[in-house]
Amino acid sequence: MTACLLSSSLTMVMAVAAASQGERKRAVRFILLTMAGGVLFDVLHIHEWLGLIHEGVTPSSNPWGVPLFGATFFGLTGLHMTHVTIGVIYLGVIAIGFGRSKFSAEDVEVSGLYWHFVDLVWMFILPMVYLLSNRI
Amino acid sequence: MATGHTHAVSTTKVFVWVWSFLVLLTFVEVFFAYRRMSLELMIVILLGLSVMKSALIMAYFMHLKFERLSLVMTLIPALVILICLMFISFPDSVRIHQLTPR
Repeated sequence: MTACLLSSSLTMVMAVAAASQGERKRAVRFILLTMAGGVLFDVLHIHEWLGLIHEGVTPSSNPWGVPLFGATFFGLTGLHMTHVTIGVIYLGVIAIGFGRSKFSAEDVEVSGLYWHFVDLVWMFILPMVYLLSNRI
Repeated sequence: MATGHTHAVSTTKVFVWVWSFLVLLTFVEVFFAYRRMSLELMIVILLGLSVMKSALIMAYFMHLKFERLSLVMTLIPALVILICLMFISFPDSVRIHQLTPR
């Protein structure tokens, strides 16, 4: 999941670079790749959620430890996943608009800033929720 | 916004290098997560690495490195103050036991 987001950030920065050089088709292709990374992240995340729910982890219960973990896990990752999903929709709108010359390179750049922000948040969720959870 | 010139400077090669470094730092994080050490030390190491990763993303992917210094000097202190404000009520947790009605 981390690889998906990091790689999608790379393709997004390539899209912004292509857009600023006026290469519309290349920029749209990179935006679509970024969206694919976001969708793959969502699919993997939902798969993980379903697995945990099946094991008995819910927002109010955790069979392996403190119940608060369930609430924290689903709250944090759920909000992040919502942002990723909104980002994918946002990028879709930008890709269509930029492909039809309705949006400028600056619009692509702003959408890129949003996408990198989503990636940046994951950089803190990964250690705080995933890597440290086996120690608490 | 960054100018076209600054975009030309940050080439594909630089982006790929930054991405590789981010992946490497993620592996270092996972490596430390499985080491035996005190929780406090682990939190410091993992959060330190995460701050490095986020700094790389902000500097290169969000092109803050190529922006005017005045913008950097506006954004970074604001971010630090915001994070400090988030922890403003943290000392209350130390005396929470005294506040609990008996």
